[in-house]
Parts: sequence; structure tokens; C-alpha cells
Amino acid sequence: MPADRPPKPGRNEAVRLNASRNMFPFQPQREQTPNGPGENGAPAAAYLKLDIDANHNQRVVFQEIRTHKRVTRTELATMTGLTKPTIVNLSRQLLQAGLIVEAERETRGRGQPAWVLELNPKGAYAAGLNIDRDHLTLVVLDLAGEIRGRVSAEISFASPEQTRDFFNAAWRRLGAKTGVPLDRVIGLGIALPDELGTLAFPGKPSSYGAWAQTDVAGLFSATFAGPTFVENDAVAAAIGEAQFGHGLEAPSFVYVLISVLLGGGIVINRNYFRGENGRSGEIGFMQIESEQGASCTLQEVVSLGALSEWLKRRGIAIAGPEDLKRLDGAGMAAVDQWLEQAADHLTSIFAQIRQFIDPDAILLGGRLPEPLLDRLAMLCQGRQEETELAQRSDIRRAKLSSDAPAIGAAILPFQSLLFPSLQLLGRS
Amino acid sequence: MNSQPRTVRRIKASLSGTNLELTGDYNQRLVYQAIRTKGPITRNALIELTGLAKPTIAGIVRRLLGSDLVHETDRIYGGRGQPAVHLEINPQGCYAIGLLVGDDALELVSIDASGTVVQRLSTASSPSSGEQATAVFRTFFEDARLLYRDRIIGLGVVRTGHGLPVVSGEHGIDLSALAAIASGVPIYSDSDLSAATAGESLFGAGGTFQSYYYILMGSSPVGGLVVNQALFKGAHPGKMRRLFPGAEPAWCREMVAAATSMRRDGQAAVDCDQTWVAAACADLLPLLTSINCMLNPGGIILGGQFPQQWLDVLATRCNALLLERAPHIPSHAGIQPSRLAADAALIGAASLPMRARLYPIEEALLKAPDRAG
Repeated sequence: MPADRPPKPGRNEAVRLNASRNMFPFQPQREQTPNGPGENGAPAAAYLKLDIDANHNQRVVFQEIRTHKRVTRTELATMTGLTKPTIVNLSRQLLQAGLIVEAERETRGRGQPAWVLELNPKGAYAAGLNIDRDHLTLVVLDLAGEIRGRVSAEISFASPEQTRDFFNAAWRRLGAKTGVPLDRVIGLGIALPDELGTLAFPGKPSSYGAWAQTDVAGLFSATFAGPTFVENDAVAAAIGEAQFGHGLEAPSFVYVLISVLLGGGIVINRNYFRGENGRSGEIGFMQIESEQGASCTLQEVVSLGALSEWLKRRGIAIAGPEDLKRLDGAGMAAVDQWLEQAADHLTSIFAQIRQFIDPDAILLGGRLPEPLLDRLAMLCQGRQEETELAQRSDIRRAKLSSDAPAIGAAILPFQSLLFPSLQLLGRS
Repeated sequence: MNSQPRTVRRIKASLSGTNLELTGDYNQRLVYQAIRTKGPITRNALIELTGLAKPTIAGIVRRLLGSDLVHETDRIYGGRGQPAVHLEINPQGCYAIGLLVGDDALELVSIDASGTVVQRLSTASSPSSGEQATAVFRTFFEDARLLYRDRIIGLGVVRTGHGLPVVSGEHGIDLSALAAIASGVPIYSDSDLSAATAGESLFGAGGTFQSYYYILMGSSPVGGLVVNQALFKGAHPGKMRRLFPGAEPAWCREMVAAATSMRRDGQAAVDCDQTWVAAACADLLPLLTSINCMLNPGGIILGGQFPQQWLDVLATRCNALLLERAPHIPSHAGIQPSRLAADAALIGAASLPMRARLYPIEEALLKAPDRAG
């Protein structure tokens, strides 16, 4: 009964006041429902006000223009379910803000040709900084998600001061070299692993513990005064993927971030799912049987750190992921072996994930070079097809893979300031 | 466990009766649930809780009172000034019927607005044909309609295990035949897991969590994540998704057999033995570890066809073992048995209409094409 199917979850649906298709029983008499502020709400004991509601609809309209590339106002009205005058009003505001532009008229069909609206990529920019144990990366994105500038440095265990100096130098360079008007950067996102200063890690200097006492959001305020957003690196990568990567086709997915350690994130119906204390997606801590038959965590065998250990045991030293691209035949063979056994471990974990949550896709990203991520995804996909399971997830390399945390961090300001989200409807 | 009819289907949208009208909005659902979970509650407390404007609350409460879904309690004296009037839900305000088509029985239940079972029927054996099942339903429903009349807001139909399939046709429970008997009452058909989570969210411990993972025990356990009281059905909602793929675990078969003989022969519950607990924990622990790592849910709830004591023992043991064997994982959600226990799917079936018509679900908020069937 296709007509009875619920709409695809996670669609950008606009909120309509006094939804009349409701079935609340027992109305003694039909009353004119007051149509004032607060006459609407959000899921699960969260509530909203009219001003946020209007804002939500504006974000929905912007999102439709952004994801559909070129649309007319009439098409927007159909897509969002909002009225034509509302669309006219909201699109005027978006035009004034410079976020969209009016392109040439659509000439197909009869009658007066309609104006087509499209995204203005130069309407706003955002910066993203990824802090990790082995590198620092700063990117600037335009509104279309294109990288307009990138500065990266392989620094082991960069201290907060080193990181600030890196940021200041990189910021100046981006301003001078890329032509991005830095005053149009609407926000800075910062992505870093959980417990950066405190988690025990081979080679970690004791001074690195300074991160535990550092106010990360305030660290760069002398250079950048705009809004700053701090997020876990895997979460940032997953959010980035949801807004600009494969997330557009897969409303629910698990993101696997292969960096020095192993992180992950989970997006359900296009919303990032944080869990009860913000510790969802901790795929690195999931348990597996190691080669020796002992129980260990997944990140002890599948991570950049584990790969470098694996190579070290075979007499091959690498300083960073870039070195993986320059290996000789023996080195490549060793990496290939590692990929095979990593795929075995991931396959058993992925099978479990499919049983208890069944995502549309499992996306692999992180600092492993793209060809290796592609190969790993292919191996996992192949092993999945050998099983008899009814559910299959699409396993592939994430669209934003190598710089995913930095790009994802840059998307945080866009997401928070411009894109629709159901959380926005919530008001506690 | 069956997972065939995964989509909620509204068979009939029209309601009969004099005072029923299909209006109402999301906020009305919100206020009703606030009164249900927090009542007795004053109008002022409702304003604070929901953030809605005073006139809005006044209007909604007036409508709820007018339709007898809520009552005013006696004024509570003691404070200063004019004592405030408190509101609470009227358990007799509405009723829902649940039909569970199981392996060895056909079960029917009526619940009131507070989730209390008011009427219950269970056949001694599984009906051999759809006609027979329809006849059982007719008797039950006609009794219910005599008692509750137009206060019946819906029928939920759920199938578990290998019971007769719920279809429109000869071999199974014919939904259109049920609709003809229960004319004017909307019918909701969904999987047993959907039903169990609806019941848990409305009448169990689920309502206290932002998110929880629900494991529905049975001969082959299934599970799902519930976020904001909505079950995430996954990328393949039409397909069976067992937590333990492959053969049915022996400990599950033992437990279902124990539950069945208890129910059928009225035997006193036998205690589960340690071997059984150990076997169950051995299967459950890796799964629970992964669920905690991947989802970080607020809680993990075990429900289903197992005797209540067995679920209690299992939950306690799993909690202890998880802390002992996986101390390194970032979060441990408390594992608890469902308060609805073995009736999870049955009460859940009756909760489907309660949820669809009274709960502030997302579908009631977002504008979408009307999909009445």
C-alpha cells in the first residue's frame, strides 16, 4: 500500500501552525484555535515559540534552495508546504542577506517565465580547525561546501600555545592568499578528540595534559572574534558528511573516523544522535577478539596508530599518513595485509551494528589516505556480501574523508546559524 | 518475532459518534501528556512546563475538560490565597483495544487512558483460520463497545512469532474484516517491537528517557533504538532484524517454553537456574557493550515473552557483569526489565492508537501530505 507509507523520515518539512490533519480525539466543539505565539511545539516535551518557528521555516527554505541547486518559488512552496506569500517573504530576506541569488528566468512551459533561485556560494564563509595528536589543520569553506583555503601542519602533540600560533599564522595566510574576505567568515568550528589531554597515549609528553585545563573556545579569540563552536572530531566529521557528503542520500548512517585512534558518529534521520552523555559513536571501544584470541578494543587493531605499530613490527617506520603514499613494494604488501585483517574486524563489528540499528550506510573516513580507505571499504563491502544477512548497509569511503574533522568543524557554524534542525525547534 | 507489517497503517480515518471531531493539534497532545505524566497539576504549572501562552493553555484545558479527557480535582488548601485547581487525566476518558496474534494464542486487551487493563481475553490455542479469529474479535469488541461506546479511540493489531499473518485475504487476520466489525474505529497495525516500544514510552519506564534501547525477548530477540519516544526502524523496516542472527538461541527457547507453560497451565513461576543466566549473559554482553559504545542510550530495557522474575535476574546480572567485564567503555546505561514484561507486545498493541492519537508525535507537528488510507 504505497499510499499509506509514511513520508521519508528526515525530509525538510516545514512546520504548519494548527496542523489540521491531526487526529486528537473528542473535540466537544470546533473552536477557532488561537493562532498566536507558542501555538506549536516540538517532539518529546520540547516547545517552540513563533519567532523560532519563522526562523525554522526560513532555514527550511534555504536548505531546499541549497540542496536542489535551482528552484522557483512555486517549486519551493510545493516542497515545503508553506504558502506562496510566505515563500516570497522568506526568499526576499535570504536575497537581502546575500545568501541566495536570483538566476536567469526559467523559460520552459507557457506563460510568464519564473525566476530561479540559487545558492550564492560567496554569501558566507566558515572556518574549521582540527586539533589532533599528530597534526593541526585549518580550512575555510564557502557556503557551497567548497574548500577555499587550507593550511595544515604535522606537529606531534602541539601544545595550546603552539596551536594558537599556528592558527594566527594560518589565518593571516588564508586572508592574503585565498581572497576570502575574512570579515564574511561567520564562525569558527573546532574539532578535537575527546579527552585529548588526559587519555593515555604512547609518546604523549606530560605537558600535553595542559589541554585538559584549556578553554579551547576562547583560545583564538584575539584573532577571530565571531562565534566559536567546539565539537568532538568524529561528531564534526559525521555532521559534515550529513550536510555536504553522502548524508544527502543516506538519511541514517554510521561514520567511522580512522585517525590516530578510532572514533565514530551516528546520524539518524539527518540528525546527529549524541546519546545520553554525548558519548555515542564510540566505535573504537567496541570489543573484538584479537589474533591471539584475547579480547581487545577495536581501536587497538584498527586505527592509524595500530597501522603504524603493525608496520614498525615489520621494520617499516612512518612519521605520518603522508608516508603511506611513498611505501615500496614490501611496505605496500604489509599495508595490504593490515587492511585485510582490519576488514575482518570491522566486518564483525559492522554486522553487529546492522543487527541492532540497521543504518542506510556505513562511511569510512579519517586520515588514512583515500586509496586505502577505498580499498578498506571495498573489502568490508565484499565480506558483507558473503553473509546471508537480510540487511545490507552501503559501506564506502566518506565523501569528506581526509580533512573530514576540519571540514565538519567548518560546517558547525553553518549548521548552527543557517541550516534547519529539529533541535532548533526544541526549547527546554 | 515477526516484523512483517512495519508501517503504521491507518485503515479508517472517520470516526462515528456525536462529539468526535478530527481536529486538535500538537499542543493539545502536549498538554494532555503533561497532565497525564505530571498530574495533578495546575494551569500555571502547565504554562511553566510547556512554555505555552496562558490563553492557549486555558483554551486547550477547556477543550480537554469538555471532552472528559481530563478532570479537575478538588482544590488543594493549605497555601495562601485562593487555592488553585489541579487537573488530572480521566482514566475513563478513552479506551484502546489491542489484538495480539501469537504463536499459541490470540490475545485481546482493552486498556483505559492510564494504561490499566480493563478487559482481557486469551484463546486457549491459536485460531486455525482468519474467520475464527475474526469471530473471537467480534465477541470481544461488541462487549467493549457496549461498555465504552464511542470512547474507544482505536484498535492496534500486532503479530508475533508464527501466528496467523495479518493481511487482507484468506490466510490470516483480515484487517478489512476487523474494520467492518469495528466500524469507525481506526486500526493501527505494526510490528511487535514498535508496539512494545510504544507501550513502554507511554506506560512504562521509557517515558523518563530521552533515548533508550529496547530489547524484545522471545524465541529470537529483536531490538531497536527509541529516540524522543519514536522507534528508529532502520534502513530496512520491512525486513526481520534479529539481534542474534542464525539459529534461535537455546536459552531463548527455554525461557519462552517456561513462559508458555506458566500461562497455559497456570503453573507457579519456576526460578531460572544459573546455567541459563550464564548462557543468556554470554550472548547478551557483547551486544550490550556495543550498544553502549555506539549509541550511549539513557537506558536499556528488556521486555517480552519471558517470566518477570527471569527478566529481573537477567537485568541485574547483566548490569553487574558489564561493569566487571567492560570497565573501559565510555558509558554504561542501566539495564532494567520492562514494567510491562510479558505483556509488552499486547499492551503495546493497545498503545499504538493511544500514541497515534494522543501523544505529541513528530508526525503531528510536521506538515506532510495526508496519508490516510
